[in-house]
Amino acid sequence: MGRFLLGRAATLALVLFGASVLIFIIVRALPGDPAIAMMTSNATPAEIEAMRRAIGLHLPLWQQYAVWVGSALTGDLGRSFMYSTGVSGLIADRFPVTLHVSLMALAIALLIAVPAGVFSATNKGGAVDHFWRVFAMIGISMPVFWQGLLMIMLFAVTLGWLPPGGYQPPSAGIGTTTAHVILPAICLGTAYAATITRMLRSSMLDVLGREHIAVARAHGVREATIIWNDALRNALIPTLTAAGFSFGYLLAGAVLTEVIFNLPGMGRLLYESILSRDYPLVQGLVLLNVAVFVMINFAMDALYAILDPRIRR
Amino acid sequence: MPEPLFEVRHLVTRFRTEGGEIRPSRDVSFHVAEGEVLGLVGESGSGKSVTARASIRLQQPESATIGGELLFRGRDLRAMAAEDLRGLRAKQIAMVVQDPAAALNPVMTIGDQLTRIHRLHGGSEEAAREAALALLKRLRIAEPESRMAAYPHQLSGGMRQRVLIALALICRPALLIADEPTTALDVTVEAEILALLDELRRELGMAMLMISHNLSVIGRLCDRVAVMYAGRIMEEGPTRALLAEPRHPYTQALLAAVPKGSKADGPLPAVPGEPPDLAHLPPGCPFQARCPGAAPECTQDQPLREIAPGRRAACWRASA
Repeated sequence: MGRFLLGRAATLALVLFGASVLIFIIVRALPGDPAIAMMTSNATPAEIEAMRRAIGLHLPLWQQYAVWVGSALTGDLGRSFMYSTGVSGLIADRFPVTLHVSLMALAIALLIAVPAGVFSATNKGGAVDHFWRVFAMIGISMPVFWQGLLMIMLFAVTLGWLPPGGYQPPSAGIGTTTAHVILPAICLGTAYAATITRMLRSSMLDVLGREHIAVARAHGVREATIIWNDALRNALIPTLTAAGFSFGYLLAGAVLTEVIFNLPGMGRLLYESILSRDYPLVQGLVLLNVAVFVMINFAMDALYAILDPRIRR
Repeated sequence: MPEPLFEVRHLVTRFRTEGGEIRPSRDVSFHVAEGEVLGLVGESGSGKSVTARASIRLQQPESATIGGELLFRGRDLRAMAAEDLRGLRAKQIAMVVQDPAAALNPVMTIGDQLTRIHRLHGGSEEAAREAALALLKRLRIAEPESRMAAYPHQLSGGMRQRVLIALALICRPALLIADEPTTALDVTVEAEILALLDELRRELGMAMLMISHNLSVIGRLCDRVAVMYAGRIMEEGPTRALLAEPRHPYTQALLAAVPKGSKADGPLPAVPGEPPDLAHLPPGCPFQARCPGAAPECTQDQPLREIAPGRRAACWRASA
């Protein structure tokens, strides 16, 4: 198992390097000059040139890359043009918000999807199965911004139970912070739950048809044990990969959800940084997203190895 | 005759496929006496496996039992509450299946799979462990202690099949359903496993329903044989007599198709004609299209009838 994870860690480093090069090039290929974007419309060419020098755009590309990666390795992702503060600091401010919402969404998704997937499979073709099929269809196809607006209308405007948006950290008290996070988390979590439910259902059906289930049944293992232990443990293995990837998307920041609920998270930061061509900030955010994705992949591999003894060595 | 341990009467099963509904068992009756071995032989698709599983109420969701009685020690398994039936499993009725790679749970250790069956039917963790170890030893598995901690993928096919047998025997059942227990193994391992199975069966005084398409396996192990074709039992009788003097044309064709071991005699023998399409069976005898002696009478139903003491055949022509 140690060797398996070590191999994965090496791949992880390679992927990060490749991604950093790609991100750097792609950001440079975006049309528009950030120096102009940062100035007022009546700036003179000389002023623009001075700005270009000030933010290091006059250097050759490879030097710009070397400077960026060199400092990134020490945790310094450069200064944001727009905010005039360190990118790392901005991310450190925003990431907890996205993490909080994402974890909550994940919890909601799993709370819905595991029982829903299992019961859909064990009642294949029955009322429960159809109910969750419709739920999944709605969850997958309903745009989050629309679902978000509907929920704000109902819970914040009509009923007045919850604040319509904004964020309060956990330090503000569990009630306050949850009240701010619960709507976006439900919004993201239901869409996420829909995907996991379908995946888990088909994976459960596959496992329930396997011979070891028949053998367990033939020897008097209780039906509940067969479903929740024998079948679920096997069915979770493929489901987790998919769930892990989706969690990566959540952590990258759900742009629409964060905009609608006015959450100061990663998604909104990325959205603003792209609009203002804030190179260092875009680079830093995308690099962080790649890193998060790769780490989640790594965590999934480790979890795999725990769940599936065939992967362990 | 004393009451048989297990008696199946007029079993009818249904299986939904994309090509329509088929009946893998059409009015199947057989019995197994205490300590007896009954072989259920037939080509693939004859319905023997579905029949055997349905006889102990183990079915895939696509199939259903729609008629018949399944009498175990006189009690109808079909009329029994699920919880009562569960109490019989492993303790009274157990099953060994064909593919040992698929039949063990890949994410549970061998030890966990064995001991939980023992514990389900009463007894401590310790007693379960002892029973499992003793049984693995009895099945000639080297280093049983370390095997208990192993996962199925860490064992060879033969070893896995032994574990599967251990799983079935750990509660010393009175009846074992063996569904092609050696088909997935190579010949030398097969011989070993069959010998072991036979030995243990005698030790435990266990009755067995042995499903196989392999006549030599059947000949080696079974007291009596029932030959199945297209969901029906065509002929039934004591193994030796049936194999020496088959009375039903299908059994005769099946025996003639067993390779004799010299390759100089030209092409391998086979049962002439095509196996029947189970979704569209002709009225009467299902074998009529391939039967060399087919006659107008064959379109009438051919019930299984006694042709000699202990021998039955489903053919109007068959006689002692």
